[in-house]
Amino acid sequence: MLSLAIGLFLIGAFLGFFNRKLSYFVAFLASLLSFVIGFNAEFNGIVYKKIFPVIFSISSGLFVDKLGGLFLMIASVSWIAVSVFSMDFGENYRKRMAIFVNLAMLGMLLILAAFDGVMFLIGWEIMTIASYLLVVEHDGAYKEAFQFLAFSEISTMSLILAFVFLYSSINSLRIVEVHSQSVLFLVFASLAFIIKMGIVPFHTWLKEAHSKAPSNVSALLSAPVTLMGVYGLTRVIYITGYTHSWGILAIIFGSVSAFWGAMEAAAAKGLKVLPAYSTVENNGMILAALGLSALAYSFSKESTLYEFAFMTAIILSITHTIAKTLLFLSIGEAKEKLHEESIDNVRGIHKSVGKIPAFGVVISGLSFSAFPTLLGYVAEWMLLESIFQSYQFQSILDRVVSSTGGVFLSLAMGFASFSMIKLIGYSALGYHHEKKAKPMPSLFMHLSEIFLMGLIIGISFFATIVFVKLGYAKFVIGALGVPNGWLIASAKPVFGVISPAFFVLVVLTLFFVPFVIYLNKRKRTKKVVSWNGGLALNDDEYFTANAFSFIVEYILRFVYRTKEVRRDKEAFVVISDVFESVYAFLVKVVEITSYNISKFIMNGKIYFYLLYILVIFVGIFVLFGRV
Amino acid sequence: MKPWTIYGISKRITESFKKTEQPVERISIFKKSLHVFPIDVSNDNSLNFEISALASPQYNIHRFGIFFTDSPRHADILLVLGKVSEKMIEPLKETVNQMPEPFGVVIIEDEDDVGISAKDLGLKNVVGYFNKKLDAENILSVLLNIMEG
Repeated sequence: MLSLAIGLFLIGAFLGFFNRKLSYFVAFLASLLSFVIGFNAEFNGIVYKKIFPVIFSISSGLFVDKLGGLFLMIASVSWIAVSVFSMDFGENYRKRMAIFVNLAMLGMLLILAAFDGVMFLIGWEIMTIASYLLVVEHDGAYKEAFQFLAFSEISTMSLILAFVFLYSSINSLRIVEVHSQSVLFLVFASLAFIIKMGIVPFHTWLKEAHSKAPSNVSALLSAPVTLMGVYGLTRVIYITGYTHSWGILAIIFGSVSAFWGAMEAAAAKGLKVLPAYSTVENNGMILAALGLSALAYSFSKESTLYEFAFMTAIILSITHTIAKTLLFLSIGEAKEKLHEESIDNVRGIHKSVGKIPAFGVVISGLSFSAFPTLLGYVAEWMLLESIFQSYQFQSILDRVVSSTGGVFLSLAMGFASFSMIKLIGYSALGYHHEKKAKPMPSLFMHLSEIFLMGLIIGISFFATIVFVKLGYAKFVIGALGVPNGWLIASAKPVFGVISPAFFVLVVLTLFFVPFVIYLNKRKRTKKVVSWNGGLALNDDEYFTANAFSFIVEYILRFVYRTKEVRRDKEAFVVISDVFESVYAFLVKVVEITSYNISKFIMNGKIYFYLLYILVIFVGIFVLFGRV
Repeated sequence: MKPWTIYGISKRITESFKKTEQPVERISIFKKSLHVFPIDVSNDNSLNFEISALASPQYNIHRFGIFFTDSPRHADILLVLGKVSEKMIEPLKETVNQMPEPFGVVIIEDEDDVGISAKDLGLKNVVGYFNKKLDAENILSVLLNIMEG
């Protein structure tokens, strides 16, 4: 079955030379098959195993266990949506995009099904290179794509080093069902996966690549590709066990990353830059949850906090993967149909493009801002509950780290809501300015968006069932009038509870009458454009998204480096990511040094070259001249 | 109408005031105070003088509870001054569109031949139409009539 899925992806890649639609359809079939594999491995206990020896004691192969199956299930949901979406969307791009989409998915499948380091690296590289070629599909995105490739290759090199240390530690390259205490493996593997997840300070590539890539590729890059980083980290935890210091570092990096990502997202102006920064934020939250899990485990095995924190990371991953795919797909449809790049210019998607993509933006955005009854609400509630429970920690260091991390994460949630309100209000809703969308076949696009919307609402409603199925039945109880099996508790002696399903029911019953009254009253409200002395308003005279977030940019001008730039009698307010300037400085230093060295060595003077020959000649005689 | 300023002055001016003969459609929705937004759609400036005279101590229309607003969004009555020039047609229509409902429109045209008669524009909720120059006293009486209903 596993080889069938791989074969299907290869066939899909091959079909990409002839027919785009067919190729994406095959990718859809293969993703569906991957979902079935993941489902079987996770819930039915079937282990897919295919191992063959390579050289010496190294044997390579495929292996899907419970953990790999879980992540395969999450990732394949995103693959299904992206491949269905691309059946229409891909028509605007070249045929080779179909090939690379298939290959990128194949690479991810190999990562999730890798038995050993070699197969993992093969998958990692297939995914990276296919993603690089996909980013290049957007015209003029060479710089961004190269930046993406540079960071990815740093990640790969770090991973190779990690596997070297793993081999020296346990004399085998297999990554499943092994245990190793190698610290260097932990450090380098974590570094590799953290770069892939886009954790601060390794996040600059993510913004550039995601905002430039075609939208289905952005969805692919943002959701499943960063999920590979999460999978890698959990796999590392399975290999090395929970480490206390790793947990502390993960919380620090994760919470800072969440805060930084949310803060930059609040000030972002590009239509796809904002979701890209939101990816940084979400991955930071996932990392912090994993770190909290490690911290809680080393503190006490009796407390259920480590399991709950781990579950938080899983639910956050599910939320991030589904909602971010939906966000990028919905925004991508609008962006492609309207040919616009900034948040301001796509206002009124619901009128100009369609109800379904607008609703997709609203649902996913609300999910990211933890709106009750959506999946993100469950996830972020779990994260906050995990942090609250860190009062159990005895050591001062643990307490300081977890509570400070908690402060950063809560701030991140606030900023995330702010940025998502900005995105929803200025793209999906608002005046539409008589914009005409480019006609485009959009049946499959809408199908995949509806599919993802249904998942966001459905998984949230049946969150308790997900808990039970994933093997965390002890967190599901019944109390406070909620029947057994519909309430999620955050700890074994009950600490905090939530029931998304009953929340929906209560909200629906309680707010039905006010809603009807509101609907009746709403018709009496007159809606007009802003008063401009009776003159018609231009597009740029509306209250813009920049104006919406300017107050934040101004108050935090020390962090954002807010600057006013005057050019051609016009003034702009620009902000900059500090880390970008750090990388720019590094690039400058490297360029200057390499230029100077090359100018000194290869200076075009013939006697210098003669001198080199002479020096090497003498050197060889000195070194090897012994008779 | 209940004059609420200093007794002597207010009473004298109020009582000696003659209402206009032209009938005004009954509007009883503007309770107590009346907010007016004047818009100049190309008159020969004399109407503007009359309007500014209304706010002077001589007429002091605030004592009746009549106020000028800066935006049609706060106004009950739109006072259209002059015959509409072509360029002002769209702004005038937009201004009428911006009025909160319910609202009334009073049109005062001067006798110039310049511009289009506002009758042809088909503005809605017109409660008064005058096609001759009114002085401040007449305008005040129109507004008071509307206020009383």
